[in-house]
This record gives sequence, C-alpha cells and structure tokens, in this order.
Amino acid sequence: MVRISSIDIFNIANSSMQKSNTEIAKTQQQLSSGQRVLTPSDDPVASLKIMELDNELSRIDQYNKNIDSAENTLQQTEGLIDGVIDIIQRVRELTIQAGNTGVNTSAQYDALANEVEGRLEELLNISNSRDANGDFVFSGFKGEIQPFSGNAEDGFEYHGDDGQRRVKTANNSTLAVSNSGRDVFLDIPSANNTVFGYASESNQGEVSISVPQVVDQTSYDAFYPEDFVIRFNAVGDVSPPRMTYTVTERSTGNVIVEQQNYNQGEKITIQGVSLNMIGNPATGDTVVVESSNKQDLMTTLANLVNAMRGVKDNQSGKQEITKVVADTLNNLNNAQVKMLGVMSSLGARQNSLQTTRELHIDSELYSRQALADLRDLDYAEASTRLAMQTMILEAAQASFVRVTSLSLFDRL
Amino acid sequence: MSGGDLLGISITGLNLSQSALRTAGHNIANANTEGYTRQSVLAEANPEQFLGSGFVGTGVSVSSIERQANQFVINQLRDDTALHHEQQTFLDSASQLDNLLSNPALGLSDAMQRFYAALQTGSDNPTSIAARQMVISEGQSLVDRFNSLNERLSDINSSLNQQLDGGVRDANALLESIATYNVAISRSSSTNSLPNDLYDKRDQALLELSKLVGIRVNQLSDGQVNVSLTSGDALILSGTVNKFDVVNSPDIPGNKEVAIMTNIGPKVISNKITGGDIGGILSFRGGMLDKAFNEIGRIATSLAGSFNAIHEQGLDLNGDFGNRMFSDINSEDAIRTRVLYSPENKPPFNRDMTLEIVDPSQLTGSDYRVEIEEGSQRFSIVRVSDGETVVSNLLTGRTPQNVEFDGLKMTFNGGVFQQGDKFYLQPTRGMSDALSFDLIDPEELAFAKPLIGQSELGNLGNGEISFGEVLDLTSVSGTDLPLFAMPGQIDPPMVIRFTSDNRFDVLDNSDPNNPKHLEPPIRNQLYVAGQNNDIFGTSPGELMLVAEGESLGLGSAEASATKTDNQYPAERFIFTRITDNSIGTSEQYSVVTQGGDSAAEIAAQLSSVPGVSVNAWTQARLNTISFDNYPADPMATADLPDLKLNGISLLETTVDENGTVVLANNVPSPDDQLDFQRYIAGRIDELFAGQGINASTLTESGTTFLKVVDSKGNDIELEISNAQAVVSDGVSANTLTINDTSPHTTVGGRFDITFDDGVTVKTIPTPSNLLGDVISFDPEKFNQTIDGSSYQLTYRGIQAQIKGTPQEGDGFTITFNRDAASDNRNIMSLVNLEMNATLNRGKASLSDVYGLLVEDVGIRTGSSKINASASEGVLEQSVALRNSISGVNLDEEAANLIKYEQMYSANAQAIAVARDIFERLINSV
Repeated sequence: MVRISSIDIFNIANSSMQKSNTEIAKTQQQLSSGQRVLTPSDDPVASLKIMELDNELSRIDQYNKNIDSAENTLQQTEGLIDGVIDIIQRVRELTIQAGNTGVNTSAQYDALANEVEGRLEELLNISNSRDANGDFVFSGFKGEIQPFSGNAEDGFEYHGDDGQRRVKTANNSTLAVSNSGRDVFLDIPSANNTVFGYASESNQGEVSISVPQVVDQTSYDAFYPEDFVIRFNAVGDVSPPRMTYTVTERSTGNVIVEQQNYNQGEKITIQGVSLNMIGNPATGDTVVVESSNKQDLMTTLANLVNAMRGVKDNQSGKQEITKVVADTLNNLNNAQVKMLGVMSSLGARQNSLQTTRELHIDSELYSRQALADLRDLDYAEASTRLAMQTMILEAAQASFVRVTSLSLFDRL
Repeated sequence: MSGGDLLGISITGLNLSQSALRTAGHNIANANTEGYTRQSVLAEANPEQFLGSGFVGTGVSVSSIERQANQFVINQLRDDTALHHEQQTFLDSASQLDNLLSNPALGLSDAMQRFYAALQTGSDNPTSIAARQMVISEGQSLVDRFNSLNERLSDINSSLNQQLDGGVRDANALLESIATYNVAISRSSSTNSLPNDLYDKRDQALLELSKLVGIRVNQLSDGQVNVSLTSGDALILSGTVNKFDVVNSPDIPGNKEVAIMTNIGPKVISNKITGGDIGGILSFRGGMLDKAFNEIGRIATSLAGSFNAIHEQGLDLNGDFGNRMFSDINSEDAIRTRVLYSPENKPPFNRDMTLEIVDPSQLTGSDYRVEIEEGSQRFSIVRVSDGETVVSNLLTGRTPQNVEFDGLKMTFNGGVFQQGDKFYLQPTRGMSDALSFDLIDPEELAFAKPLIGQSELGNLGNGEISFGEVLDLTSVSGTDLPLFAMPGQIDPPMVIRFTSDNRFDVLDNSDPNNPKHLEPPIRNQLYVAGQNNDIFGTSPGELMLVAEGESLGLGSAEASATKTDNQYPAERFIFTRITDNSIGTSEQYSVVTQGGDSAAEIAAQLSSVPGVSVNAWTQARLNTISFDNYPADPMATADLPDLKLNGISLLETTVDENGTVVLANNVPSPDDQLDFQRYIAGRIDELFAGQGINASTLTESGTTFLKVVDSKGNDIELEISNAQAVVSDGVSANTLTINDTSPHTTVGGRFDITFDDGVTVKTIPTPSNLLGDVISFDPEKFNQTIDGSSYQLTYRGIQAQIKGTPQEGDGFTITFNRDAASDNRNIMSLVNLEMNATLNRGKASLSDVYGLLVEDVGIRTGSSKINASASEGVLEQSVALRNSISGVNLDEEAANLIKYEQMYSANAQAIAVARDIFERLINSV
C-alpha cells in the first residue's frame, strides 16, 4: 500500500493496544486463579480429561469411605468370633471333666450342666449381637430381625437368611462384609448323622416338636439320608375316633408306621430318632424330621446340658454320658475348625481391603499429578508471558503517542 | 467564462482552485466521517482556439469531482464484514454456553458425583434412615441442577430471539434507507456526474446491512442497486423492497425464525442466511444450542429410564416393590408433547400421535421430520442430524400403527392422517425440564432385591446358589409376569431339587410337603459341575410345548412274546421360523421321525432344527412283582425267575451245591414288596451307574412302585421270566402286565419342546400321536395359541445360578425376600449404573456423554475463537486497503491546501497582471 489514511494511523495503534490489553487480562485471570484452563474452549481435550480425573478422584474418596466402614464391620465380627472361640475352649474343658464318669456324681453333673448352660447363654448373646447401626450382625439380609432364639429344652431356631452384604471397594470389585448366622453357626459338620425337626409352616392346627435326638445311631444310619414326615390323619379314620398319625419316608412316600395314636408329650422313637410333640394338630398337619450332616453349635452345647441334667447313676447312664462326651468333643472340634475358617476369611478380607486402600493411594497420587499437569498454571511461564505482554503494550502506547503527534497542520 | 484572453483564463484557474480548495476542505471536514470516500477534483484543459498563428489554450475547467473508490474493494470489504460479524457473534454466544457447562456451580458433573456418593453411602448402610434421606436430598439436588441448566439454556435462547428481533428491525430500517438512496441516486444520475455523498451513504448503509446479514449487490444501469441474500432471495429488486420478519418456528416451539415477506406471505429463510450477526445467531442456535438442549435431555432421559427400571424391580423397607425414582419418561403427557404438528396440516385436527422411548441406549439425540408423502400412502421419517431416512413405510390407515427406530416407538394412535401431513419429533429436548425426583419417604427407597436363593440345611453336597436376579417384571406384551404379580410374595415359591447328581427339576414349592411341576415345567435339566449353571430361560419370547400324545410312554406299547420297540408311530414335523417380522417372511424345516424311534432319538432329530431344543426322559414303573413258582421243588435252572432291564439281568444268582443256578442269598423275597423293590432299585443304580439311569421306590395310594428313570430319553426295555409284574409309565393311567407268556415290553419316553421366539410347529397327522391334541386357549396359564396349538411362555423374568457339586436329593429354594432390611443388592445395581455404558448403544456412560458434550462445545468455541480472530485480521486488512484508496490523509490534504492556495495566488496574480496590461493599454491611448 502506497497510501495510508489518517483513520488508519489511529486504527492500527488502537487495535493493537486493545489486543494487548485483552491478552494481559487473560494472563491476569490465569495468574489469580492458578488455572491454565479457564473454560473448556481453552483446551477442550484437556478439559474432558480434567472432568474425568475429577470424577475418578471423587470416586476414590468414596471408596476409601466404604473401605473404612467395611473394616469396622469386619473387625467387629472378628471380635465376636474370638469370643465364640473362647467359649468353645471353655466348654471343651468342661466336657473333658464330664468324661470322668467314674468320679462324677449327679450333683457334679448338675453343676457342670449349669456352667455349660451359662456359656450357652453367652453364645446366644454373641450370635444376637448388634452393630453400630443397631442392626443384627448375623441375620444375613434380615438385619432388623433377631437371628437366634430358643433354649436347651426346646431347641433353637434361626430366623435370618443366607444373605451376605457387599460393599464396593474399587471400580470393579466388591467385598463381602457380613457373614450370615447360618454360615457361622449352623454350617458345622456334625460328628454323626443327625436330625433336625420342624412343624410345617402350612399347618392349620397347632403342634410343635421337641428337639429330636438320635438315640439309636445304627438304626438311624441305616435310614440316613432319608427324611420322614409325620402326618396327622382325620379323627374319624379310626374307631373309636381319635387323633392318629402316619409316618412316611419323605421322598418315596413309603410308609414307616401307620395310624399311631397321638398322645401329647409322649416320647416316641422312629428309625432310631426320639422326639415328642405337644399341641393340637389338625387333620393334614405335618411335622418333618430332616436328616442332616450338620449340627449347629448351640444344639451341641444344648445336647451336652440335657444329657448331664438327665444323667442316671447306673452303667447304661454312664455309657450314655461317655458317648455324649465323645460326640460333643468331636462337634466342638468341628465348630472350632469352622470358627478358625471364618476368622481366616475375615483376615483375608481385611488384607484385601488394605491392599485396595494402598492401590487407591497410588491411584489418587497419579490422578492428582495428572490433574495438576493439565489444569494448573506454570507460574514461571505465565509471569514471563505477562512481562513480555506488558512490554508490548508499553511499546504500542509509546509509539502511538509519537506517531500521532506528527501532523502537517502543526507546521503550517 | 471562456475566452482566449488572460483574464478569462485566469478566472478559470481561480474557479478551479476554489473548487479544489473547497474539495480539500470537504475532505478535511469529513476526514473522520464513517464511510466517507475522499473526493478529488479532476481538471481538464479547455478546448483550444485556432488563432491564425497556432492553437491557443483557453484555460481549465473542472471536468468532475471524483470519488476515489474502488468498487471491488468495497464489495470485498462488505463480504469480509459479514463474515467477521457472523463469527464474532457465534463466538460470543458459544462462549456463554462454554462457561455455563463448565461452571461447577451450574454444570452437571459434580452434582452427579454427589448423587453417586450418596448412593454408595446408602449401600453401605441400607438400614440407616439418615443415609436414605441423603440419597433423596442429593437426588433432588441433581434434578434441580438439570432444571436450572435447562432454564439457563432457555435464557440464552430467549436472548437470541431478542437479538433476532432487534437485528431484523435494524435490517428493515436499512433496507428502507437503501431504497430511498436508490431513488435519489437514480434521479440525480441524469446528469453526467455522480452524487458522491449519496453513493457514500448508500455504501455505508449496505455495509451496515452486511453486518447483519450476508448480501450480494448488483449494480443497475441507472445507478440503482439490487440487493439479495447470498442464497439469491431478493431483498431489493427493481424498487420493490421485501422486508424481513420474525415468525415463530413451525418446528421448535420457543424458537423464532427469520422470514422474508413475499407477496404470498412470509417465507422462512433462516436456513439460507449466512453471514452477519443474524447468520451467526442462527448458526449458533442450530449448530450448538439446540444440540445442547437435546444432549442434556438425552442424559436426563437415560438417567430417569435406567434408574427407574432398576428401582421398580427392588423392594423398599416396607417390603413393597419400589415406585419410580424419577419422572416417567413415557408418561401420557411426555409421549404426546414430543410430537409437534405442522401448522400447515389440513383439518380435521383430530390427529393423535405418540412417541415413546423404548431403549434409551439407542437414542441419537437428533430430532426427526415425519412426512406423509403426497400422491402415495407412504410415510417417511428423516433424521435431522444427518439427513438420513430411517423409516419409509406404508401407512396402513388402521390405527394404532407403530414403527420403531433409533430406540423410539412412534404410534399413529387415532384420527385422520392425510397426504401432505408433516410432523416434527423431539424425543429428548423436553426431558431436562420435565425431570423430577418422585420419592419423598426414605423408606420408599428400594435397596433390596425381591428374591433370595438359599440352599436347604439338609443338603449333603456342596452346591451353592446365587442370590438371584430379577430381569423383568412385565412380559413382552406388557402384561405383568405372574411371579411377582401379588405384592409381598412370590407366586409360586420354588425349589430346585436334584433328582440325581447331574439332573434337576424346578418345582412349585407352595406346599413344601407336596412340590409339583411348574407350568410350563422345568424338569430333567442337565447340571454341569464346575461351572455356573443358569436355572431359568432368559429369552422373553421363548415358548414351550409339552408333548402329551396318546402314544407316549405306555400309550401304544404292548406286552409281547418277542422283543418289541416302543410302538411310537412315525410322524412328520413341520417347523416354521419367522425370519423378518416386518415383511413376514419365514423358513420351513421338515423332520420325519421313524416309527419306533425313542424319545431320545426324536429329541435329537427335532433339536437339529435351528431355534428348537428338546428335552427327553423316560419313566417306567413296576409294581406287584411276583415269582411264578420259586423256590420250586425240585429246583431247576429253567425255573429261575429273572427280570432284565435293557437286556441285563437284575437278580443276582449263585450256584448251589447241586450245581443248579439259584437266586443269591441277598435277594429278598417279593413277598415283602418294598424290600424287594428296594433291592432291585439298588441293583439298577449299581449296574447302570453313569448311563443316566436311576431307580427308586415310591408309595402312592397305598401301592409301592419301583420307578426307573432314564434321564436321556432312551427306551426302557423290560423282560421278565418265571415271574410277572405290572408295568405303568407314571403319567398316564395305562398299565400292562408282563409275564412268562408275554415277557417283553418297551416303555418310550416323553419330551418337552422349547421354541425360540418366532418358531412354531405343525405335525402330520393332526392331532399328533406324539404331541397330543389341540389344547384350547387358557389365558390363566399365560398361554398363546398359534395355529391351534397351545404354547406356554417359559420366561419368568428371574435368574439364578448354581455352582459346585450338589448331590442327589439336595434342594435349593427360591423365595420372596421378606424383611430384608440389610439387603443392598438393588442399590448396588444403581451404584453400578455410574460406570455402566447406558448410552450410545452401550459405549458410553452418563458422565461420558456429558463430558463429550462439554468437550464438543469447548472445541467449537475454541475453533470459533480462531475463526473470529482470523476473520478479524482479514477484515482489518480490507479496511486498511479501502482506507488507503478512499481514506483521507490529513497531511495530504494539508499539502493540497498549500498547493491550491498557491495556485489561487498565482491565478490572482495573473489577473492582476491582466488588469495591469489593460490599464496600461487604456492609459496609453
């Protein structure tokens, strides 16, 4: 261009000063906020990554909280199981004492029974413990329902379920934080084939069953693993009319005994299993005696208590006690193995929490580093940039003053 | 005054210098006037006269006062101005959007994080009311954030509308003034010279107009100009002015569009405007703002849809199924407001169309145009984002008619639809405004799952069952699946019973003492140890046919003297499989079974048809077994009783001291039938171990039976000698007796056929001897009748798995999860939604999609920054070029002043000399 108009002389200086001002303002904003990326348009790809990193950090924070809470729960459970192991030790000592059949008298057996019963109550308390939220520790998913109820005479019932609660400890892992009462207390192999009994839920009348005991192991072993069902017939089926029951093998329907008279509280023995029933059943009501190769810890202690309470001072009585002692020791061993297994599982889980926590610490470190690299301002570079931009602005201003002061009219 | 004399010449000189001085003064005065083109005087020497001795000049005159303008440069400047304004306006609006989305107080990102954190805390403490309350509060905050983001976007939209209003008003005013200048110029152009200042003013008006819209200018011969948009639509044409107007958008309510007023009414030209502020606004709105609305709506839709689906399948603290967590994405209101009817559609106005969202993961976020074509009964649906036609179908005219595409279902519900009708579909835009959090009570949060699988206490093996999943609560046709139809219970509770170590049945456990088969049955299922075995079918359209033909089992079999087969007749099975639902094409497969084929063989043949699988098993029962004459006296080997199964003897023998073959000592007498049957059952289990055959005894109605089951469906061949027995098949009432006269019989098996969705069967003959008679439709059993045969849906909507090594007799129950306050499985599913890819056909999570939106806005804002600054640079250059040609340089004008002043002085001096000469001449006479 050969010519330049007067307007342009001003325009050029004006616009370059404005541009410098804008740049300086931007640098100032960066310096005062400490961030290089102020809006996504400054660096769109980085801002997406920044958002992802922020999300990841927030998740890690939450996982750490979950891990803390899980650790508390596992530690509490550990303490409770410790208590159970102590009880098992103590009862073992008492059982060995009870094995001295030659020396012990009925009175001594009574005393032993009392102490074991005390331990049984302790055990029940532990199994019904609550956690910090007021929920039952060993109820599975049914956290507001007390898991164990019952006593030595009537047997025990578990009201919880098999559920196991999990928490999320990392993006792709969950950890079980609870152990159900069924797993801990009921799932213990029993020394001998054993039974448990219950009245059917659909019963119309009212009938309940005592804890069935295997009195003739050989007979029962021959029948095992079948279950049997006691079914109450119509009163009018026999003459004179009275309540009778029929016992059948559960899976095949084969009859074991037929139309036996029902007498409340009477001790009956079927296939080597002794039990009694009380109450007023209706026609069609059933009581089931199921076979099992497991025996819960409470029942083991209850059997010992009952045997010692009811001991007879004669040869067969002593033989009975000896057998009960042997069975109890066996079952206590199994229970201890189970408890130790649970402890090691709790320990393993706590280890895994620890490892996960350490992984999160590392992840957090890397993420924060990456975030800083992307988002944070390099102060050295920014200050230098500010100095340069200020210099440019000053130069523009100075030259503006010089150039605009040149006018031919001044010299006319 | 012309003339050859000095005076006259000097006067012309004076005139010239006066004009020039005046022009220079005009230039100086207008040095800073916008759009001013400097003028310069063009002088021309006057024509010369011939005065005998030669040609003599006659002075100078002003030929013209010229405007120093280059039309090419002016046009270039106008175009560059339009471009820069467009990009600058685009940048201004884009920056607003950019800041909005990334602002932590307004953006979605950290609100979503807080909501997920609350969910995780809730899943750690499902019984804690405080933790539940937190979930509700954060959920409400998240919804508020969506709503307020939507409001801010709407605010941006309103301000754009206002800018459009203002811009159109200014543009119209400019058009008016350009037209006025046109007229004035054409009048003044009758002379040879041009009205410079009018031209300047008109050029300035055109420049101002190009700041608003991009235009093309055509010069006419009479000095007027025609102005049109870059697309060609005329604004000023031969004196007619077509003004702009702002009208409501026929597509998107709340948007305004720019139209030109033609003589047939307003014509919307928004999509044809490029350049200028208005072009920038429209390009931003269509390219970024509308897309932001739709994307945010899409995120809201997926959030509500996926959370609601999982929440409604869970149980709350009261044991009820969860209600919706967020608003219903397919509420009666929402499905109608998504469809917009064009104002041009003709009466009657009783059309009813709905648009439902059936699969949020397939949503594209685009709007759609629907048109019923003129001259045919076809309608087409075009996706706006890429212009692709997604549907082109025949309009049947019978309502309701629906069509599915891109995760949506559009239904013509009722009313009169005509050719030429147009509709606009907005699937996602309204959702972020309509989103609401619908739970208030902390107890209403459904953290638990409705079912729980548990193993029975008496199990001997070590199989484990998973806790169980709910997949669906409604069937394919939208009706409730019966399993959870009644609140608070599962109907029926089920038990999985292992009939052998690797086969199981799933039974109805409503009466635990009397479990029975389900409808339709799940029986004789194969279990594989060492892997997770699914218990239930997961295909919602799968059907089952239970074969109940007369020939099955003992139906046609007889006791005979020689070895016989199961007497099943040959049959032809014709399977039809639908391959394309919309057109109705299908394939056919034909299978012919031979007479005497076992159930296993039939099963194998039928299972070879794609989409068909058959499960077969055989049951035979023996009762009242008695020996003819044993022990006889004397004993002869020929009198030995025997019972053979599949050709193998079941009674153990030994040789006595006489060398006669007799029964072994451990073989009980059939007088004690139960004992004897137990012995036989034990022998069968021993001899046929591993072949899938097992035996047991059972008592029914006072009779004891020996039950033999072949779990593969092979025939059971029985042969008896020196004895007799009654044979039945355990299902039908048929019996026969095998004895010495007719010792052989073969019992055939039964089968269940499972069909994939779309497969059905016919048989020849009909009714089939194997499949049975036609059963009439019974809605109680959720059957379907297709071509006269009654099929049952197998889908129950749940799933559970068993792994490990269970033993025969083991059982696993599936029951309703009552009182499960500590169950956190359902809220864990909600927590997992954060990382799940619920959008973009399973490729992106909610956070991903939001991040992509922010990134997209950021990229486009960033590139528009570059564009704006580039176009600014170009504009500056154009301005400088124009100014260098047309701009006033004060120094130059100052120099001109001096020049012409001197000229004036010189001419004045020449006049003085002329006067002198004259005086001297006069005075000398």
